[in-house]
Amino acid sequence: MCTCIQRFLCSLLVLGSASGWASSYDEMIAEERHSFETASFAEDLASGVAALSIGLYGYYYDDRGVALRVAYAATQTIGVLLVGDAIYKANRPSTLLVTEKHLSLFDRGQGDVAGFRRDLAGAYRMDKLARQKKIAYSSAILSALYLVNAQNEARENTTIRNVYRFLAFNTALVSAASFYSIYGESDAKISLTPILQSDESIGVMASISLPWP
Amino acid sequence: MGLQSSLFETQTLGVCVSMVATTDHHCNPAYIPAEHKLGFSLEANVKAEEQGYETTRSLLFETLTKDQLDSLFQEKDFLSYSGHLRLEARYDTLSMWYVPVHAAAATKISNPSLPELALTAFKQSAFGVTAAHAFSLSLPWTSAVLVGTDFYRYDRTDIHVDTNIVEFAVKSAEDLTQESDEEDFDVNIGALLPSDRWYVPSVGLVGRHLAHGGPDEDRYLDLRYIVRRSLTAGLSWSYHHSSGVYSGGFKALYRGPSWELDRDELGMALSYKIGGLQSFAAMSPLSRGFGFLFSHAIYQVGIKYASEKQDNLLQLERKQHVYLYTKIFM
Repeated sequence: MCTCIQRFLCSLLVLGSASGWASSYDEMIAEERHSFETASFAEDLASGVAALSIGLYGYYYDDRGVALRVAYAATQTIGVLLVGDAIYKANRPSTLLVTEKHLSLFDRGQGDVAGFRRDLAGAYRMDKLARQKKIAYSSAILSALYLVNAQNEARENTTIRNVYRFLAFNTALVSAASFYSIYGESDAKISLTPILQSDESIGVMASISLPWP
Repeated sequence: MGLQSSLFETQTLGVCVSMVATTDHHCNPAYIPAEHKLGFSLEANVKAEEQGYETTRSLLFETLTKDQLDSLFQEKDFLSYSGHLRLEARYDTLSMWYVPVHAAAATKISNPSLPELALTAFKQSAFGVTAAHAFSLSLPWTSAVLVGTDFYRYDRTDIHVDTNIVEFAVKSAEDLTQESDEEDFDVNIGALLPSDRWYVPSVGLVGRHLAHGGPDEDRYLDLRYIVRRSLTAGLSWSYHHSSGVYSGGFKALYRGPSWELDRDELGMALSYKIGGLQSFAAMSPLSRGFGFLFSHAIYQVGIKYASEKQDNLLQLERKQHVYLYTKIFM
């Protein structure tokens, strides 16, 4: 029975020839183990931080016009998205390794179907959580970046300033919603406080308090 | 829900308010896309004409000078340009959007014996919220009616010049230019009854600029029709087959205080979509065109070739124009 399950999984995941399925499966497991042992997220993190640094440096020190500043802001965004990918990779579980663990147990006659189901459900939940963390943290960084960019843009560039403010507000909203979905069932609190800036304008201060992990 | 065939979008490659020399097909705020429930999008649409772009840029972003007006007297007899940029953040059935710039301009030289120059330019930025809701409905061909509204604040600048070569010689640029600024709120309302069966049409209704439609000014050259109060009604059919999705439909636009039918805005369109590629053709009394739209998971690019004229008095012969469209999703 276990062999049948292995064959079925391999045919789904590898799509290889019938003769080569076993070696492909072993290679795949080895690759997955290797990626977890070597912390493959570090590659994304390094690229992201590099792109972010170039974007930040260029934005504040290369004063050759609005178009170039927008290009540097796009580089900052790409950097943060890569950092987000690293956050996901650092937090994601491996459904493949969970499956392999249980298949090995079945091979040794110690298989537990209920335990297999429970671990798969746990891996699914962890994957969802990892995606939410990626969105929450990368949106929060993007929001802060856009806000600082808006403040540093010259007053006469109203259009660019408004674009950054629009992006900052919405990324903050997405981040707050993602943090809430991560920690919402525990003690997280989101509060919105109106602030009167002047007689003509009103602002809203959003704050989120999270439990210490 | 079979709404991808909505002809409001097909005819203008998804951009609803930026065509100068053709009909102003507007998207329907009731439209709830099946995908991209949460995310950001950036879309841009421009009329690809460099000379028109230069003229518009100088009109809208620089102070109009005598030299620029003088150069316009030497330009082509008719020039027009339009461009539109839109950012949107979508949260399920609610979206927040910002249009940093929606610009349009047109110039016309007439009467060769005593050249007259008419020039108009329009620049607008707007920030708004769109909310849509699906109400359950038990009809054999549909399960819901969609209703939506745009509520937005706009900041609009209008520039007009109507002069002739004699007046131009004796007056300054400031005296020749009429400029007005306007800031206000406006609202659009839409409804859509989608159909699951190919022989029953989907029905769409869109009322636009209902709060501040702008007065019908009598000018020789005017772009304010873009923001006039209007009601658009559309019918469209869609047939899903293994070889692709075939769609076709009609639309009519009613304007003014008595909601008269605008015959120049009657339109029909045909579309064929297979995978990520869509080809379409659209026709109205003032515009004929065809184009292609390529859709990917994170971007869309499109091109529309159009043969069009502004109206029967201003521009007798048809001109070929190209519109470019791009949209990026995050």
